Amino acid sequence: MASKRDLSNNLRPSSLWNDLNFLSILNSSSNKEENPDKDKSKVNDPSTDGQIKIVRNKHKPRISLARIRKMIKESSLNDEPSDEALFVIDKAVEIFIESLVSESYENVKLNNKRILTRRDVDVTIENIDSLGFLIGVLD
Amino acid sequence: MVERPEDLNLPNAVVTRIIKDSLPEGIAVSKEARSAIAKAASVFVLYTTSTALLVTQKNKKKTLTAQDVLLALKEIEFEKFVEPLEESLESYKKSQQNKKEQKAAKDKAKKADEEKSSSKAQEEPMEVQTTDGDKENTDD
Repeated sequence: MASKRDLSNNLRPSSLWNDLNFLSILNSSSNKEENPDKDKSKVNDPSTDGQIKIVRNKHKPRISLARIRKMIKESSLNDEPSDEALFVIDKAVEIFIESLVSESYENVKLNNKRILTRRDVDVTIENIDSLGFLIGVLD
Repeated sequence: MVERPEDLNLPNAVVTRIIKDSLPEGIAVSKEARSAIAKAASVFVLYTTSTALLVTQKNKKKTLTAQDVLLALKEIEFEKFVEPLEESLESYKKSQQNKKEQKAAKDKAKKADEEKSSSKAQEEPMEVQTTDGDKENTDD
């Protein structure tokens, strides 16, 4: 049985996921002083070949901490997460979504499409080992 | 165990926003893709949290801490997230500290104001100055 990474029809090894440059974008947001008043701004830098640079307030949670706290409580996982724990989870989910979307977008580019579909997401989940926990979970 | 399904989901608007910010202009996202990503994110929260709780329990603690979460991320193969998260956490801690200090300063100033106004009310009312004195001062 061919390994997942050998499939040639529009699938390829997920280099972006392993590319730490992607995640270093998050670190570089602290050096951006141009738009201190904006929560986030999006810059398309032609020099990075269409790679997206995202600047955001890295000390501000985006997803409501109250919602995450509620999620954890409702699932009976724990009664007392610390505020810092909630913040880290919030940011981790943010990075998770960005990574999943960016990686899925690679597939969109490969197929010269302009829309990201469910199939692109499925393919990404199949290809990346660390996303194995999602297999069979999304219906 | 679960009261309402929406309680286990992240707010749709925020998820959609993050998805949009992760893509270049002009790229659309199908409804099914958006729904799948939102669900994946929710599952990620629960997966990370339950792993982190194992860490908490191993340390015989009751409160889930940020360190537990970071350790859990390493265990579930998301080690690459840890460094940017640690940096974010540092910024967050600083901003929380600043907020605390600002509030303390504000409370202090408020208290001082209150004390000042209450002591003023106890003084005898001042006599109104005549204009003669003022005219002298406005010469030149």
